[in-house]
Amino acid sequence: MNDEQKDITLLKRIQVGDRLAYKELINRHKDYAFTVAYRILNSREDAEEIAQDAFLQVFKNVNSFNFEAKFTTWFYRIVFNAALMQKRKNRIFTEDISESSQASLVSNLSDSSEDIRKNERQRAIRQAMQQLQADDVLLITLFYLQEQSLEEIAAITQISADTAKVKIHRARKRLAEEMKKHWKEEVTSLL
Amino acid sequence: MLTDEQIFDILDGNAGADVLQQHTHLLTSSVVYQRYFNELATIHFDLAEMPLEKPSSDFTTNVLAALPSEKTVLVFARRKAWSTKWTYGFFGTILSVLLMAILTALLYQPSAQITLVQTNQFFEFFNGFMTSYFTQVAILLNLMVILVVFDRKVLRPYFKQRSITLS
Repeated sequence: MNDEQKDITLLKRIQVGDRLAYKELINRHKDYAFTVAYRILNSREDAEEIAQDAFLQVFKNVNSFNFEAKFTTWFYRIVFNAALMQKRKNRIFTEDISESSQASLVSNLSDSSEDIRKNERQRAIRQAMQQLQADDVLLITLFYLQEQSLEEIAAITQISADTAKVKIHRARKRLAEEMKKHWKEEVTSLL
Repeated sequence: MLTDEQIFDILDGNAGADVLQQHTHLLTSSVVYQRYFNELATIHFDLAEMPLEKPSSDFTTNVLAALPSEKTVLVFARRKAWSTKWTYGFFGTILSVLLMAILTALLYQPSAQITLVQTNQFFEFFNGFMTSYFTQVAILLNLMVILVVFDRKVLRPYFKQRSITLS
């Protein structure tokens, strides 16, 4: 049984009130939901709240799910919409300095120099992502995390597959530009 | 020089043979291209290797705790069952008493006639009370009870259903 069929089986069980199936569905998708929300919001508390709300919406509207689309397509749309609304609410961007510096400190203590450089680059990517539009972040996250097809990403973001491809290219280009800015600022601060 | 779209196609493994040929040539001939390609490739591979974020350990528990509890539904169902039982019990008792009264009136034949010696005045008063006031009040009360039961069991559910359908 593949992932899609497993989701369908779980959803059918949830429709008849099986809470164990709901628990299993949460455990299957919580990391991805949380990651998508976190990449957009850059706050663990907000991301956790959004991911939880998204799962509650799934439970509430499970009977309206028609099984024509993939569950993940429906679900990531819910997560994205909720995260976008939260981001609009927050407006003021606050970086969780303590968390990022703590993470880099831990990595500095335990990792090799190549790992340290990689962790630094990934931290820079997370920061650069905060400068992108929410839909750009979603496109990049879905493209790299789930290895979803362009058609699936297009269905989640409600655009055509061709447009999704172009937008992913542009989002990565913008991310690269933000990364360049970030490194320039780092070098300037060191000098 | 290749466009960004073409470079990303190479990185995603979707580039055509002519683009790949151009790419190989540029890598060896242009330092600027080599540096630019490496920048994009580094980001591409870093993105691909970025780990999944983990929510808190009690994430699932919190979601399940936020669900509407199943207990409430059960209590509600029990109440409904009891109210139905009481209604059936009420009508059942009335029917059985009525049947008993009719059967007694039809089958019972007194063996001896009892003559009550009472003052004419008291008997007239009692008889008048029973036929006029008491009967009227009893009929009125019965009507009220029947109306209340009819309202609760028939009218309210009907209009409630109707308002749901209209909305």
